[in-house]
Amino acid sequence: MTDHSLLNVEHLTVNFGRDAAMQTVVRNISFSLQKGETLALVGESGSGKSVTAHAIMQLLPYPNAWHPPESQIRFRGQPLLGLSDDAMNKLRGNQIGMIFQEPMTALNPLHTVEKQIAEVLKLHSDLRSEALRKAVLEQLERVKIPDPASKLRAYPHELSGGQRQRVMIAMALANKPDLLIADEPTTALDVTVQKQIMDLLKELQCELGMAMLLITHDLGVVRHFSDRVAVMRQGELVEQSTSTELFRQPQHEYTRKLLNSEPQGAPLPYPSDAQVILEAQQINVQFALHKPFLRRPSKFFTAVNKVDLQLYKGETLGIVGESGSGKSTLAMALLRLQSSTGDILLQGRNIEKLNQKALRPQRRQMQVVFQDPFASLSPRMTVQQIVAEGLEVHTNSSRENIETAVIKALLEVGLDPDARHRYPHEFSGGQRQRIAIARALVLNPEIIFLDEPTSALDRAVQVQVIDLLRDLQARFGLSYVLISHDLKVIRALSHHMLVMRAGKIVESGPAEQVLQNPRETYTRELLAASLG
Amino acid sequence: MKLSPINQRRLTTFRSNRRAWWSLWIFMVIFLLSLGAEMIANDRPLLIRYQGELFFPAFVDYAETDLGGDFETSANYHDPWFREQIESSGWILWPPVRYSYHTHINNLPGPAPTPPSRDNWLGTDDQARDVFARVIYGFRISVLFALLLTFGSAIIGVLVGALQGYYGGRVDLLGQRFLEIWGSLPALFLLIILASIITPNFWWLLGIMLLFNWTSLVDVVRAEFLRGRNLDYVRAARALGVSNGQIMRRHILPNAMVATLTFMPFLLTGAIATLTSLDFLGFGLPPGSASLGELVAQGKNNLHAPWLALSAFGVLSAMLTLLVFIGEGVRDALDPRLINRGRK
Repeated sequence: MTDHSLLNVEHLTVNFGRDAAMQTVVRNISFSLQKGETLALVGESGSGKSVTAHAIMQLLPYPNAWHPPESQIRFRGQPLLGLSDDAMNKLRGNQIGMIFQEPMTALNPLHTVEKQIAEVLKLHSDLRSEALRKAVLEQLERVKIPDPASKLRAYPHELSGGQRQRVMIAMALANKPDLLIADEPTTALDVTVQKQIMDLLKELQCELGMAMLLITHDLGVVRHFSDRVAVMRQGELVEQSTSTELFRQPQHEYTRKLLNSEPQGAPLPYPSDAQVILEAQQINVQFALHKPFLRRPSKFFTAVNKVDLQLYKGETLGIVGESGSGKSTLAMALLRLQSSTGDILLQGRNIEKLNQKALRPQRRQMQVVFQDPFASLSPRMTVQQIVAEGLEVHTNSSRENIETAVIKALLEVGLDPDARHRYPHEFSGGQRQRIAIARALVLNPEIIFLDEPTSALDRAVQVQVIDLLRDLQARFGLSYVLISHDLKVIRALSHHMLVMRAGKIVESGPAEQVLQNPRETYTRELLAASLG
Repeated sequence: MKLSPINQRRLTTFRSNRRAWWSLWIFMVIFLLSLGAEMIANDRPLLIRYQGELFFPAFVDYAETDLGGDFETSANYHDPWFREQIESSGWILWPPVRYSYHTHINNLPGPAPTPPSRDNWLGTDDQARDVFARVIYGFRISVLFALLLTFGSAIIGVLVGALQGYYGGRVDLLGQRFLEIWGSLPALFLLIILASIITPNFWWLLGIMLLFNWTSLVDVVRAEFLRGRNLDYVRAARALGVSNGQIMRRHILPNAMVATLTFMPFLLTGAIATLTSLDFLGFGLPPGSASLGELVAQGKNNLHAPWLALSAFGVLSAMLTLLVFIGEGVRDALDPRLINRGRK
């Protein structure tokens, strides 16, 4: 490598623990970053991207984490590994800035925005009092926060997700660093906000002439915003090339797999004479904003506002919207897990007024699969117990019959039934999602609610789960209510779709039509923002 | 019973903490021995053979006439004449310590309290009773009291905490306010008032302490249930139609048990300390019963007899130290961070 590089990583290896408990998380990776350049570090979760970034910042839990002697990280020729804390602190936040994935946890909830940005400035400059305040305001203006002067005194919880991320960026860029490390900067944000934040980062990068190390798993972001790409897998760097080159001609097999793992295919046709299986009329969900003592609450937040919908047998109804648009709340209300008003007709029978006991036999018809397969399976039950639980509630079958049904359900979702006595933590994310689907399937339901069924999974696994869902729909004539913010998933599975915003349905219709010719501006924005 | 992997890992972590593991063993051995206190320290022989017949005075009340004496009263085996009478046509098997906790020793070498000797290993107290015997019985009653109190409070506390946390809303609000009022009642004064009305025995004390002790676990369990009721797998279970009771028992309680188990050894030490201090103040177990608190009080009143205070201090500190070591071991074994550190 020539000396022009701003950052030089050579043979970097990161180990955790010693001796028998040693675990190598990053294995012998080398890359370099020039001034003003953007390098994207891509890979699935657990591939060592974030650890690499933390190693550059020297933020790993030393001495539990350690590097073998041949590892080298040079910033402007200066070796960073083993640099004293004092020397490193001069670089951190000053010449190297970093932004984190989760803006809520990365900002201190007890301090105002002004104080947090001022702290960074104070550490590395002599600005004080009025001058400092002006400088802070300048930072906020630079990241284009609306009405920056009033935001000075705001606390993080008073800001929206996108605004918080802007504050984070302002903090990271306050001292005009030469290198910005962005660790999944947009993952926690809605699609429309994602695009704004990435545009902002790109603009600031040009303005300040800094280099950016962009860590992401989102190929859409990579394609639009990076000059070069490094693909990581299980701690190793499998491929490195320019962005255009990589997308046109991926060299490594893994990269090709990663690129091809976009959700594909179209929804299956369903009979046109299908019957309405679930119908909802005027569904309203309200949360009391403030509860006066011993009186009825008077102010409400309306999470779902007069929603009507119809679901036909064998059909998939996609619901899209940003976070907070009420799509998950709507699903919970339809499942009667959230109190609501309005009418819910399940196979022509109104279940809205039934009490929990009368409702129990009906629950069999409607099942749910949640977003996070790590949270939706009880860690203390075996797979057998998890899948059998519903059967024990709804049938009086013998032990053997239940076991047979569990084995059948596991086979149907493509799992090895011999593994049924293991605990969920022994399975991967995709396998766990299959277990969750098996738990729903074993009851022979009519409808399965899929609440972001693929968002917590890596791309390659997403495709498998989508194929499985489509296959099950064909075999059992299932109806799905699919909630997702990922339009590709919606496109691959849905017949009809609803677009929700602030609790209301903005647009609805056949999925193909809504995706091709959106009528509403909001839908158009949503479509434009989703990076392809 | 097969342990789930997570519990196996916890057991391994606990066993690898040698201090806690050994403390548990030592404590268990001492406790089991003290359960058979009647076989170790008793003023009645364990076994007598008299005129070809077997007698079990430690367990059966015999009249003197049964064993060749003159009176119809209960036999006094410490009476030298009576003892010779039996040994003349049989033999006597004594326990290692020939005194019970309430035995008044008549033939002491000096005025009570007497210092440790070959007969009275830890000396005698100011009422001419053997301190070693009293310590054994006192240990047993302290641990039993503490165990009952802890399990009783755990059962009530977990139940109340579970209901409050799971149902939330109004149940939780009223429950919390009730706990605040209840927690501010002065338990000690109630005990003092009660002591002037009735003579509190073991069960009275246990009942009253239980009335005020059960609240200690409620907050922890309530917090776990508040968190747990919104977990995805709990919502999935509700969607399956599982009943509330089942959800609480099968899905959320195991999570709350970690916090409960972590607290338990410390509740145990707290309960022992409470009983001891009540006894020390004279509001505890009825006069004459074996209690460590009473021994502490005697030590304070008889500073010229340091073996009293030293015995009480030695036993109490050893017991509490062992329990704290065990508690630390349990806490670390249930700590997810430490478990993950041990994982490959």
